[in-house]
Amino acid sequence: MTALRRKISLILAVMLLLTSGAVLAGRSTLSDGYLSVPRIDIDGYGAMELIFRLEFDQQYLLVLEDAIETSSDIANSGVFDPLLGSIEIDEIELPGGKLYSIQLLLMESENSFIFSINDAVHLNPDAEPFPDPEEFEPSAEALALYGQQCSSCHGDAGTGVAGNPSLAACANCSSASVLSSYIRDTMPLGQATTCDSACADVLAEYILGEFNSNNQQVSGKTIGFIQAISDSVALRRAAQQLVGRLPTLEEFGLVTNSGDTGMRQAIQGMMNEDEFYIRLSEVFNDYLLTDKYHSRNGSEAAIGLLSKDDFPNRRWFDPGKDNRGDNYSSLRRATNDGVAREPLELINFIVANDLPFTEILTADYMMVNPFSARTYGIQGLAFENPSDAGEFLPARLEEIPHAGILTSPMFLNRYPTTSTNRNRGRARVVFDLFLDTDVLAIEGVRPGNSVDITTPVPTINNPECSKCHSLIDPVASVFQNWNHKGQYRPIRLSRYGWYADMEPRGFNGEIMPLAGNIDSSVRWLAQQIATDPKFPKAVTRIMVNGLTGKEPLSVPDSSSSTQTEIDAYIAERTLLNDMQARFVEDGFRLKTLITEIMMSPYWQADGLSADANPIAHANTGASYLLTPEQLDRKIISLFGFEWRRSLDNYYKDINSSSTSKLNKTFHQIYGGIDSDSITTRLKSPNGLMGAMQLRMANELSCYAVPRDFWLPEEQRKLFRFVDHEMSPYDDSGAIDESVMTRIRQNIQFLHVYLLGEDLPIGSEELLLTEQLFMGSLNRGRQIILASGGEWSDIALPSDCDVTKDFNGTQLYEKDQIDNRLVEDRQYVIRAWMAVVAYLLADYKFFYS
Amino acid sequence: MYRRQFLKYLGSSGLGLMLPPALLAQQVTPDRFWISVNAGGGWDPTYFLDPKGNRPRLDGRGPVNNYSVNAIRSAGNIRFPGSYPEDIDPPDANSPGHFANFFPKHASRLLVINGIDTQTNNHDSGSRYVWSGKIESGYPSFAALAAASTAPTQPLAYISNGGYDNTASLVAPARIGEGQVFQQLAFPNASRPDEDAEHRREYFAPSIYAEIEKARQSRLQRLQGRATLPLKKSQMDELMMARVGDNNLNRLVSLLPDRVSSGLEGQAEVATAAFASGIAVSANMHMGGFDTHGNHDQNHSRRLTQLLEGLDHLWSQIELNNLQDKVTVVVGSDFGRTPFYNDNNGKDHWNVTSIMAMGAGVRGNRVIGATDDHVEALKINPQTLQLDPNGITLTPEHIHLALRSMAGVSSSLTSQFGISGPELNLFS
Repeated sequence: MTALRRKISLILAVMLLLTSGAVLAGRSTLSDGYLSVPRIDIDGYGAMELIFRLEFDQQYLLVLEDAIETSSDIANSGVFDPLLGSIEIDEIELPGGKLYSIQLLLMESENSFIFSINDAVHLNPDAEPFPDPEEFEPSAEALALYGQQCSSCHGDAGTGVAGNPSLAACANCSSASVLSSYIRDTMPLGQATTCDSACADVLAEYILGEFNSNNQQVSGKTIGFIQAISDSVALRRAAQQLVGRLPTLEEFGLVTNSGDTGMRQAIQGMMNEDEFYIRLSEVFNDYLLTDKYHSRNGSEAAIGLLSKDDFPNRRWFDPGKDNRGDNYSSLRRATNDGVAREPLELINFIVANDLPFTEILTADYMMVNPFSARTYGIQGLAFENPSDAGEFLPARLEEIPHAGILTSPMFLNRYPTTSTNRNRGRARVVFDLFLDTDVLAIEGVRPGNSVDITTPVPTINNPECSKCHSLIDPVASVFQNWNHKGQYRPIRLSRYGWYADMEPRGFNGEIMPLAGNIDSSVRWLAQQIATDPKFPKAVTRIMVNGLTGKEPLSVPDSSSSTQTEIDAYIAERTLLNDMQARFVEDGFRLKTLITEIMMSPYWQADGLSADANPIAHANTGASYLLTPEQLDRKIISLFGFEWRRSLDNYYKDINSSSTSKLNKTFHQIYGGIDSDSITTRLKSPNGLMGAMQLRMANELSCYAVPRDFWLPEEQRKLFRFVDHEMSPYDDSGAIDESVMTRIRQNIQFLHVYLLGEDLPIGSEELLLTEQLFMGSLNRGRQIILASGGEWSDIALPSDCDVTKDFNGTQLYEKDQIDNRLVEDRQYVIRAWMAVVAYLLADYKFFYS
Repeated sequence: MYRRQFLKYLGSSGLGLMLPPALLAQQVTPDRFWISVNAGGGWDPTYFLDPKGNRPRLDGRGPVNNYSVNAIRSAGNIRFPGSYPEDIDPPDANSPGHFANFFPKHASRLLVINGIDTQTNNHDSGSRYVWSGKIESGYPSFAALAAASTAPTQPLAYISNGGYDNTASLVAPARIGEGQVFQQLAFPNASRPDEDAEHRREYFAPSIYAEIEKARQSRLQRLQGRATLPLKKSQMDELMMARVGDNNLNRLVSLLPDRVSSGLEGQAEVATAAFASGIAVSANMHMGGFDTHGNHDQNHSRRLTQLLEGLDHLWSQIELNNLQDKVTVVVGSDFGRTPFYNDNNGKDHWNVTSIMAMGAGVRGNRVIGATDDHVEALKINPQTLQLDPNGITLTPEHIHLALRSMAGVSSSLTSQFGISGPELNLFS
């Protein structure tokens, strides 16, 4: 319905355009392969927003995708000439800041409205541009500098060598100034002082001109082949991913009435719900792995990391073995998880309050719940509900120079150090998680003797060692005030001091000024990272993985990659660079980044046009195998219960969170992590996982179908059009068409409800599901007939029947009315079970 | 043709739509199996496989080990310390993991390779290098490669219990979790899966369940036929393969002990039962705790005892299932540990390490390679494998080239995940 309504509105809008003259100027934007024209006024109809998709077919074409009524408060954007079939767009802003005025000419208007670009005028040629390839002539100085400073790692063609990245669509190539400052501050790695500002300016211009001038064209051409999912499917996917539920009617209304704008509003709204933060914590824990200390992995796994000397009240909940009350275990769990979840709750707090995401590192506070506050000895916090373990507030520990996650005891213990490691492990993780830099990949070919115990200070004096250590050791030294247990112990107060044979504290070639930082050097580091262009790239990597199930494409190996693979990388990276830029422009607001990812053609991809090169789109799309946690939430949202055991016994553990089969029995088998020894998720199903899917589908259909039939009609989730005595056969054995109509309606509903498939009655898929229903019913009736009506054939399987309500109350007592649902004489219930078991085993159920 | 390329080819050509599902899921019953046992954290070969004893180092850094030089024994050609440092609690004298029990029992089938230079002291790099043969990222573990080369579509082709288990998308790794749940997975239509066949009770009558299953498979084929995104196509292909083998799990269930053990022993029981039932090709066994930067002697001794007990149990399971001529076991770790102690009586990371191997294709009672008194790797002659100052230093590349040769890894996989270097006849 949604799609149909939108199609009608689109056609109407375009007809209006073709018969109207339209007016004046405004600013349109071209990004992600889409041209958005905010407003064109149409006589008698008001303001319309136009969305075009950029395609490449011998030439650049703009396909009209949407036309939506818009506010008259928005400035006008262009002039439509119905006689010429042209649209003059006065200002189009391109990524990087270029402004153009263009004229579009209508080429085709039968099946879709396709425009060519008839003319274009560059409005701000003095602005910082990407040099045009045909105009770019590298200077001798640039060639010489590149050869001296860059080519050994990035290759003469900029494609990267020995694990070093390509410079095409590089993360810091959003503008010449960004790239220049990045080069000046960090390059060449470990020798940043060898290229000053002038050198960096020359190299930035060269790199942009020589290796990046075609990025937008490549991106537009590649993305043009992607076909997007419908709005309703996109909305369902967004709701499922972000908040683990189906979309609301209000959200459908937003998308139906306001298209992309409505979709953005719906996504933003979802990110205000508590459930979103459950998912957000999972996304970040997949990288931080601090849930190693959650009570699932030990009752006091987190508390045990805190020193009794520092926090004498750490086990405040324990009055002594002989005096423990009934709530001892729950208090202990609430306290432990308050401590364990501190870094993840900091992320949640920052995102929920629209604070700059850089604050995950720069925050001069930590997060506590009412229980962990007591452990830390923090008083006077205004908790709304002091009994709510889920309520976290910011707090400070006296004399501790907090620096967000970096000084969290959980982070520091998760990535511990030793007297010989000297915080290098922590430095490596900082580079990996917050700067998207794998320092181990920098190593390249290793020296023959990699453990040098003869050179006095090999990490400084042996060039093979210092190549990497000059990068990580200054950052390792930054952590010198935090010991191996994650305790704050200012090193200047120590009898021994910091190691004299380590690089001084610093980052990116800059030595940390001691004044004002000597006891708070991690805070200084956090500030440096917050201004580093690699930080938004690192955050984007994490969020892309969380929303699409895979990280962005790796830099192609120049020696073995095809041009198509390189173009695929450039297209995706160019798009991601644009998203990162918007994330930064919006004050590092994570919700903006999430919205941009979900609005991108890669996340919304449903298919490819017939002439697309599939190799270029091997990574395109956001479908992925749902994690056990996500699958669990999906089941709850659809059925109202978890996959545990027979619903007759569900009341026994209805308040327990530990008995869901997906969170316990099958959690590891189905690819879950424990954040300790198992830290990577399985993303492809194996034989065990395939078998588990079938068991889950069979069990859930058994539990859900009879229970749903047993409920009053207005409370049912699955069966809105039929009841359990509604047989397709009448008393004479003939098909009852009125019942068949309702059966078909319910099958149609189940496809939508369980799989998000909106199919018309009579479609192939619905007919095949109907065949399964009828086939199962007929076979079942034959079984009953053949046995002469044996009770074992009439009765529902004992795990499936309904003999107790959700509170455990028996539904039948002697001499009372029998409210149970235990028999199925017409085999109707079991035929519906077959249908539900069929749908629950579907690809669309298990994949996002 | 290897699977990833095959899937890519299907995805790009659309040919997958025309192949019948039976062909897509064609299975080969494997009869050659591989187990990697990972001692996570970096073990100390000088504690057991490459014993040095407590002779003081000439550079004044103290002894390599704290057990006596005079405690070093031999079982055949395998040298090992017969006792432990005096100031620790030694393992139970009857433990199958006690050096004095393990090595005499298994020496005839043991191959020890000493003096392997991992060229790193970083856990991630070391683990990756030792188990894939390449220090660069992106290469599959040997166990994954062996599975991909033999029978990638088996439901449990590659069982991973942790450690380096990169598959480079060649096979889907399987994690076991609790061994007790196999009954539930082997009989997905049974509401009482733990009962014998007569009392299992089904959710659906068999004839109806067969129709449901048929409908599910047909639906998946239709969806795949309509998909145009390569990612979705390959996901549906993977799902198809994951669903095909479920009926074979009952064979595995019938071979498991009534109660699967915990730790390495349990990993060994599941792996060997999966081999014997023909649904797995390779397995990673894994235990951690070898990163003993403090109190090395005591902590390392406990871990080594557990490791050797696990290996002893593994071998008993292999024999129980009559697989001793079909299973090759390789045991290794991230790297070695320093040939001296730090201030915490611990040992830090050292690039030179050892591996040991046993089972099918492995000629036992041999030691290849060596280290000097300071545990620097000594060179060997690539032909004779004897020490030779003009020879080569062994690295994980040499180990993996030999393993790949023994496993018959296909040329396409060998070329896609290439390792350079001379091929040494290390194992046979």
